[in-house]
Amino acid sequence: MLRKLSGMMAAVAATLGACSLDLTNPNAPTQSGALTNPRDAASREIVGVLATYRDNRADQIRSFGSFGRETYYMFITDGRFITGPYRDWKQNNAFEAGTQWAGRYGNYRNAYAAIKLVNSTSALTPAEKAGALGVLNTFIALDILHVTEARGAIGAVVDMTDDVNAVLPIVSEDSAYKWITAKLDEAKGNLDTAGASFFFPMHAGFSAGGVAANTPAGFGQFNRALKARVEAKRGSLGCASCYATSLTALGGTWISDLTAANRDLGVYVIYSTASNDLLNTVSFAVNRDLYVHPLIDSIAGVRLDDRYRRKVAIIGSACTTPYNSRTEVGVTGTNQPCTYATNVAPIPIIRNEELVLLRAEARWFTGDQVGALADLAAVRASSGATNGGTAAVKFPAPTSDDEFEEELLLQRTLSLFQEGHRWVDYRRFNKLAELGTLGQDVTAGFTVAPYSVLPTQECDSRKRAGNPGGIPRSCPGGAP
Amino acid sequence: MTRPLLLAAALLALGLAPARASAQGREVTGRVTRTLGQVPVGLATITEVGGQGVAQSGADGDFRITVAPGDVRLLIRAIGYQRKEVTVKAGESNVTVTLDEDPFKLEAVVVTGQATTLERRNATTATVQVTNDELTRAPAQSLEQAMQGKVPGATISMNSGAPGGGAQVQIRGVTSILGNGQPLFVLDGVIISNDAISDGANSVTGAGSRSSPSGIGGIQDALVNRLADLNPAEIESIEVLKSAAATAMYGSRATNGVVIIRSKRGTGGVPRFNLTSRIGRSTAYRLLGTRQFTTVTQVAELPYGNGSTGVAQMNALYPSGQIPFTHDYEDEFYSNSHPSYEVTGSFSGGTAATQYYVNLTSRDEVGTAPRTGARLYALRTNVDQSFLEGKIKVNVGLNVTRNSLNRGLSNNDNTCTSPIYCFAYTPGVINLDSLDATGTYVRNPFNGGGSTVSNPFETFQYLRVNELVFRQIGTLGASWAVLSRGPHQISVTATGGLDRAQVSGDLFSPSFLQYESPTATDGFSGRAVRTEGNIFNYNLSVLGTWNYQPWNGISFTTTGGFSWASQYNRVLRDRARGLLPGVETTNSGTLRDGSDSVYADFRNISLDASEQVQALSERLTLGGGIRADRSSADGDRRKYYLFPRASASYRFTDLGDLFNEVKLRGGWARTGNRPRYGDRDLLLRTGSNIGGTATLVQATVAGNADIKPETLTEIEAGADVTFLRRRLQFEGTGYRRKITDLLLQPATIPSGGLTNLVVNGGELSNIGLELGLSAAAVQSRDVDLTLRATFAKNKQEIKNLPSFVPRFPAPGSFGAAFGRNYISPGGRTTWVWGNVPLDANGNPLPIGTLITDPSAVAATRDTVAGDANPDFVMAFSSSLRWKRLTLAWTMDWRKGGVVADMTRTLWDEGGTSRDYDDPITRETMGDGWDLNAPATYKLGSVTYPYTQGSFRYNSWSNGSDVRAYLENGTYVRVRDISLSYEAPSGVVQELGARSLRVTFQARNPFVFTHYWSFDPEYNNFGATNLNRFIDLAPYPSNRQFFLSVNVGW
Repeated sequence: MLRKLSGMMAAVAATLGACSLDLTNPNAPTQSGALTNPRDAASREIVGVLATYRDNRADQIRSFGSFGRETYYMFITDGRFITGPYRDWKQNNAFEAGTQWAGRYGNYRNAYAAIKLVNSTSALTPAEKAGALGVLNTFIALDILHVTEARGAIGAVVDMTDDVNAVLPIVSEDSAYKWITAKLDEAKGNLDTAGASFFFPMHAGFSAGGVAANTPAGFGQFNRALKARVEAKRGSLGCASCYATSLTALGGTWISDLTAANRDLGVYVIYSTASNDLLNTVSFAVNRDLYVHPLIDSIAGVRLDDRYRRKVAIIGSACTTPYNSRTEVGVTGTNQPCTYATNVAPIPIIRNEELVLLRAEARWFTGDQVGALADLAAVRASSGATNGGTAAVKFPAPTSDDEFEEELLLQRTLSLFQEGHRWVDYRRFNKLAELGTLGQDVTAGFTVAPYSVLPTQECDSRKRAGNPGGIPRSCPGGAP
Repeated sequence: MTRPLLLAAALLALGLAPARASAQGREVTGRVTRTLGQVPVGLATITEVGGQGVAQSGADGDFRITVAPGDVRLLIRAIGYQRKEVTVKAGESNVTVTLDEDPFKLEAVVVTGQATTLERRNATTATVQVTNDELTRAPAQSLEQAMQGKVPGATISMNSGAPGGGAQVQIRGVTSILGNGQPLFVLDGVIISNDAISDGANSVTGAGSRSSPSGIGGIQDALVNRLADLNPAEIESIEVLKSAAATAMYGSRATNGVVIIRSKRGTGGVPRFNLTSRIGRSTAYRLLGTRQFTTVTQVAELPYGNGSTGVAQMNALYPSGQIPFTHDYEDEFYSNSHPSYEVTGSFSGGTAATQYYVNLTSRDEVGTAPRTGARLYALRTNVDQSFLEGKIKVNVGLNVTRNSLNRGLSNNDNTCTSPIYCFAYTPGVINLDSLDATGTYVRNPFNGGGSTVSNPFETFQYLRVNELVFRQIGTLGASWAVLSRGPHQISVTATGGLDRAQVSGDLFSPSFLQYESPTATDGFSGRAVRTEGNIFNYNLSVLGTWNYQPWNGISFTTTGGFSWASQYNRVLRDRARGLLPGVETTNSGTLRDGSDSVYADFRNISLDASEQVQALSERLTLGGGIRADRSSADGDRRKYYLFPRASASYRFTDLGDLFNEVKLRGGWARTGNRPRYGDRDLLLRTGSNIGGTATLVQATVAGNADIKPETLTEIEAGADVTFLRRRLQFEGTGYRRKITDLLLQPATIPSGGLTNLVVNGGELSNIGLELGLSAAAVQSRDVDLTLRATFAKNKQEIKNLPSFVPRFPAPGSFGAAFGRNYISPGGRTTWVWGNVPLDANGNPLPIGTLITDPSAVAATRDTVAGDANPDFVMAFSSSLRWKRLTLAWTMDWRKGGVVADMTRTLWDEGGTSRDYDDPITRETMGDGWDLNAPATYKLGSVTYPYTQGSFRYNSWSNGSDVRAYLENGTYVRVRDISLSYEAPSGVVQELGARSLRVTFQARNPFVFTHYWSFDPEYNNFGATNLNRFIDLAPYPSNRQFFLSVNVGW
């Protein structure tokens, strides 16, 4: 009996030993699962890059709006969304510190992985691959552009490798812009050999804005528009030839003299109430904690400007729900922004009004002052005075570069309100101090950040690796 | 000398007492009673010393045993009584044995393996047993609450005062940072689920982001862990295995301790009925109170404009500008006084071969907030059957539970719907608990008004957040005495069962509620969430045991076998936002979304072998074993991980009257904690949809195909001393645990594009001491008095982390502004890190310096601001019987350990805290403050005098000095008290009953603490390994008083 028993036990043990524990995890797609259909996987990964870019866009507008004194984010029970960017911006762990860093590199990683998949698969034709690379490289450039805009003098990491933990160098702001412009050119090269259409779906933000950027040719125009923007930035930061390059790039875009009808032609990120899609979280419908910074409210003549009347939730705007002023951490906001009224209002990436403003800037600094002032006048007329309003103006006929810059900044502030430019613009023209003059801000001890410092995690990771290349600027122990 | 003793113990524990008649023996009958009071003692084990006779007494204390001819000695043992040997002379056939009570439970049986046990007197490790009497001393919200103060070395915290439970148990400190940190709960051999599933409260509170499907429910939703479905009334005892040497038989699921729960079983004999009725109520206590407002101006000028939006309404309400009366909303809100009740009826009985036990409980715990409560129905049936004269024994248990929980909202929120959170920003100057002319609740005009806030009185009237659980636990045990020949005894046992729970969440937030209309802050009006959680666990183990007693005084027990366990937990959620009026289903909303996630899907296979030796007349006990585990959670699913264990004890007996007996014991073992579900998988992730296209993106956390279990190695040593004529017992245990191969999720460099890796590495260490002193101070006919005090202290250190793992904050916190644990080499897991202002030399400045002397602040650094670890925890319990009256109570004392009192932050920020206007004094502010505050401060253009609330809040300075809201968590509290009266037998018999007891019971009657908010043991994030000190707007604490009547027939 004993023998029988032990035999039985051994048999059961052997059965169990051979028992399979191979469970599959159904919660998320696997790499191997995706590769069962590489063409579709590549398509989904490319659209994933477009979607992730969009996911970061609203936060960018919110945080740049705080740094650039467009808005206060008066989050109802947490003042740190104000004190973070307005006062405690030197702290690596403050709210909004490190904005446009991890999220943008996360999307860079998405694009990096998608490029590897596109390059390695045989399920795509060369033209399809070129189209994919053109879009992916353009979005890598765009993501790094936002990183660089947020970092200013700190610079940015521009490389990526397979090793997710690699400590790669932080290059200077100037080098980062150069890298971005080169990356855009590389993408343009890809697009030029991409045939007539993309094999992956381009969302409506590439076509519904009046620009057919959902084809390689149209997307090439979008690529050039970004190139023009980057070159103008470089120009204002001291690159002698860049404004001319910017003008050339503009020639490859959908730019046309500004009218009320064409000012919004451009490329957008889109939102939807569909399941697992996103809502516009800086819209009036979704976010009732954003308040217009009083510096905007107090621009001379602004209340008659149609841009202000469109983009601020006052009677007559698209956002007519009564508003209340709010006071938090010692500062008061009176009006709420209405730039994006509904929860699915698209946010522009770049549109004709910006292209015309870029052209005005490039024309002025390449000697075409008449053309420049004509463009600014068109902006005032076609955007600031289209609905019975009177456009705000500071220097209708500037007599110096400084006066032109002041006027340009005013027009860009109003035309591109809540599109992520004001802070970066004031910095590149070395006029950040003008953003720090509001009495209640001064009383509250607020100062204007020249950049959003690196997030704690980046500083820590670099420190553990021995800070190759030195302690990064803005990290503890590094240059301020 | 006690040849069959061990066998008997082992077999009895398996319900295997062989009732074999010896051909040449004689029969002895007898009766076992308690010395004091002649109460029959059932379930006593009677063994023939040096012979083969074994018997068990029935419920009436009677037994019948067949023994060898001639003079024999019988050993009588029963749990709760001291053992006794009696001589039965050759001519005697009847014997009466009286047993003395055993206040230290040395005769109790403790588990040493899945099929082996030992008497506690011989145990080689520290043991803790909690009996039914102790568990049911007062009604408890959940089993954990019933255990509080009774398990030295375990930290048992309720997460809030909400009805129905929600608690966490941590044994001997933090054993894992990211892995599972809860003990393994085993009910009658079945590994039961302790999962917690959200019902979707986050869709209302927005405590975490609520826009995406993953935000339908969240960790801050005041979750109820499934232990809440267990009915303490049907539990016979709980044994808490703390030592690794004891838990290692559970291999890779054992590092957090194992809680062995035994349900009540039938004892045979005539049917017995027992009915217990309890009625009582909960009352909120330690409510926060409110600031008293006297003028409209005072409200209008509340910080952050909290009052400004209500000014028009206030001017209408108080034309004079004077406010005569301030509402204490909390006091008005948490005032539900409906009675709670519990009715338990049971019957048991049977024959020698068949025993049954049936229990039915109906419990209704009414919460202090309107329309909240927990409703439990539980039915248990246990049947024991023996065949072939006891050679085969089968026991079957079935437990069916319906548990319905309505807990409302509590904890963190971002929509002003969690009452304590919202009241903090709502000055008590309008009557929120009233209807306007149209019949709707008055709107809360403050703190922004409109749909950004709510009126909790309205919310709790109409919002439904229900969790309905149907649970079935089935247990099956079978044993077969294969062979009994000479010194050899062989048996096979199979134990297993299943645990199935269906958890249905039902949330309906109608569109007319203030925070929903015209639209909620997420843009939708009205929402419904359906949650279906499916939990299905089963396990089976088969073990063979060979007991060999070569000669008297020595025995070997060898066990070998295997076990299989499977766990499954899947949750489907369906949400609709933007509902049609009055429609509650999820298929009618503007936006419908949902999620489908497997939370756990595990299979484990293990092999186990163990040896237990008793020698030198049971003075020496040795135990050892090894378990080999492989799991679907491991990177390598084919690899067996080994978990060895060894322990020993030696008793020095008969040392005289001063020291009666000294036992030294020690053990060493290694246990594991398997990786989490999904850690091994290298995953992509679904990104957000755009333009109707579903997308693929990189997973932010990269899985690890080589992941393996965390490993804990423990050395334990202890001594148990019985002295002063067995009146006092001391138990002392020290341990040192080392946990390596920790599951870590180090952050990658952000510019690399991912956020985390999953790796094994690093080392934690725990050193601790557990002491207990019990006294049977008085034992006499009229008076029994037992006293017990325990002391526990644990200190934890993070020894090291791999070089590539940066220090990182423990998950589940609100960051440096409110404090959190940091995993930093050389630090403690319990240190609270947060922002602290420093002077030019890097030294911390007194709290308040940001206000009193801002120029002295050179920097603000995220550094160690306190330690959440208590200096020690002591517990005291006592039972005093005087004639028919018995008074029993449990008390515990926690000394030290800081708590992040975020509740107070809210109330100061809202300008409504009860002491807001009080003067700033050393006595009220506590130590560590610089009190030289300037007289006034400016808000906008208005100047205000500094008072306690504004000074404290501004000193915190939006998180720049975390210490302003770190408070000492010391408390002394009485956990439970019962005072019972046993009716005299004359009265009882007149009523036709067997027994009658009337008891007054109280839970949490007294708490003494300087803590400002409700309870320093509460935690916003529920069951977490770390960051267990974050108090944020919980459901308030309550005390409960009950009157209970117990009748037996």
